[in-house]
Amino acid sequence: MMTTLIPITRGRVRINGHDLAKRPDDVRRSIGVLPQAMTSDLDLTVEENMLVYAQLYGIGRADRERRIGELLEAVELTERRGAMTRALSGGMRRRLEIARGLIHEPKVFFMDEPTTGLDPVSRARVWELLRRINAERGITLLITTHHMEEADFLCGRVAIIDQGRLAALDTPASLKRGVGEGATLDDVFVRYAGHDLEGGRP
Amino acid sequence: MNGIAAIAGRELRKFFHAPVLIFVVVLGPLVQLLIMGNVFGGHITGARVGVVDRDHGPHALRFREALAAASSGTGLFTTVAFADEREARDAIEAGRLNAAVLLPADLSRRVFRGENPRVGILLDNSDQAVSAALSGTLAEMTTTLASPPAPLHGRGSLALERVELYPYVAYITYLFPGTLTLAIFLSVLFGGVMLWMEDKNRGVHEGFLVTPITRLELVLGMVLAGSAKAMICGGLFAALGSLLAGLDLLLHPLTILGVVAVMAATAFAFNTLSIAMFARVDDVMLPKVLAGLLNTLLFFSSGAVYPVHAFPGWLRLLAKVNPMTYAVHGFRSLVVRDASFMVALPDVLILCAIGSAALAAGTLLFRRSL
Repeated sequence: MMTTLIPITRGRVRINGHDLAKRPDDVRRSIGVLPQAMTSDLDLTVEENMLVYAQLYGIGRADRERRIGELLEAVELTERRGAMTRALSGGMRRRLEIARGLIHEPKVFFMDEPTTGLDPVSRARVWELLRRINAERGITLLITTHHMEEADFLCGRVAIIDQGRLAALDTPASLKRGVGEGATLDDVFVRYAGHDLEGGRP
Repeated sequence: MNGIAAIAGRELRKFFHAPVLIFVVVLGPLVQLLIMGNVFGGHITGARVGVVDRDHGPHALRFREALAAASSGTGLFTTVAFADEREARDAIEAGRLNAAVLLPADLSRRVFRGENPRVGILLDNSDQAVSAALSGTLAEMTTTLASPPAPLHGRGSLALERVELYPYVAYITYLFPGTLTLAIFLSVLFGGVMLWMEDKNRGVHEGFLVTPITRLELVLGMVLAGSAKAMICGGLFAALGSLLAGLDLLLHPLTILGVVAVMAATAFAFNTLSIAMFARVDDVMLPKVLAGLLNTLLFFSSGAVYPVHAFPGWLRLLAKVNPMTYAVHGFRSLVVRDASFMVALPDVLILCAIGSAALAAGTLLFRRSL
């Protein structure tokens, strides 16, 4: 709903000061989206993948060149600029998709399972990249993940959603403190959403 | 505007990076033109005709000689003598004969009397093509030979020459416009609808929908790219196929211009129609399953392989509402009948009208959300 893909059923959504129901295109210009599935085009080069999205957002030719160069540098794909995406590893593709999502300099970046299917080395690199984006560009990252270590490492605030309802919302540190000494975020998750496994509400 | 350029640019870049589509889309119709064009194009040879001579008079002899001359001249048939009609009938039933000629007992006498006697022809009309060819040739012979006396010439001086009158003689030429239309149709199907469904399935569309692109931009981008792809495939097919069909299309720049115009209108109509059809469809299997059905329904009812004049009423109706009919007619007028562009103009206008209506429908049906 917040990425404008599903019409709003109830309530109001404001992103970057724009009301989603009234000005969806302003919201769209303010957000970046990284879908869970890998959606970069295999039959296009790395640069062409970026170019398509630059055009979709109506970015002018001069800006386009600069931003593509800069973002590919940021995700460490500069040398692969002319390579076919088909030849890239999973981690590289994911980094390309992250760069693609930043081409219009969004304020909020929605990411659905950003590191699913990646090996530990690639995952660590993507995490490092996301931290840098958050710190250097001041972009809010909204990450949905089943990977609690990822949430712990990346997030300032963690919301646990259980059966469509908000079960907990706090910093990782205080969430862990609430469960007990030496608890991990996994323990927190079990505490708030683990009833399915135990066969009843806690 | 930016959205159109983004979508069309993406599609075309993908197309050029992986040109296997061109190969598939051009090769299929080329093979069809080659095989189908020759399957239906040939002269019938070696049919077997029985002769039942119950007259044995001078005119029966003349007739038999003429038959022998015709059979050696055209190769259409060979003759076999039969004692009576019943035997000949049995041979036809058993598939050993394709036809039999019955010369009645009083043939010569009645010709001398100045009457017009009848010569019977038994035809195995379970095979339309062979019986049509035989009945044509035999009927012609009976009318000339069984008519009142003419001086007898020396033996063997009579020969029959084949005069090309049937449209199916140049069948491969006749078929060419249909296969050109098919190439455009296949390009739209494989290079448009199916890729698009795959994109939808992979979530690539979601990526476009979270950007500020409008429905019209998305649809126009796809139509533009789809039309360009179809025209590239169609153009390549036209160049190769015209050579295969023995047409000198490539030497006539004005005809080429006309053909390009019909191709553009056809590609536009097919692309917009496919978007209108599949705008609300999410199942990747559906276009694949429908491909064969659409091919039969549209291609064969368009007059591509057989003239619409031969269709029963309900099929003519289908031909009338089938956009492919106008494409085939337009191409055929220009390429086969060498007509001026004005003859194909109504076809172009009808295709553009269909395309515009489908573009409006497709854009309205297209959903901006999931």
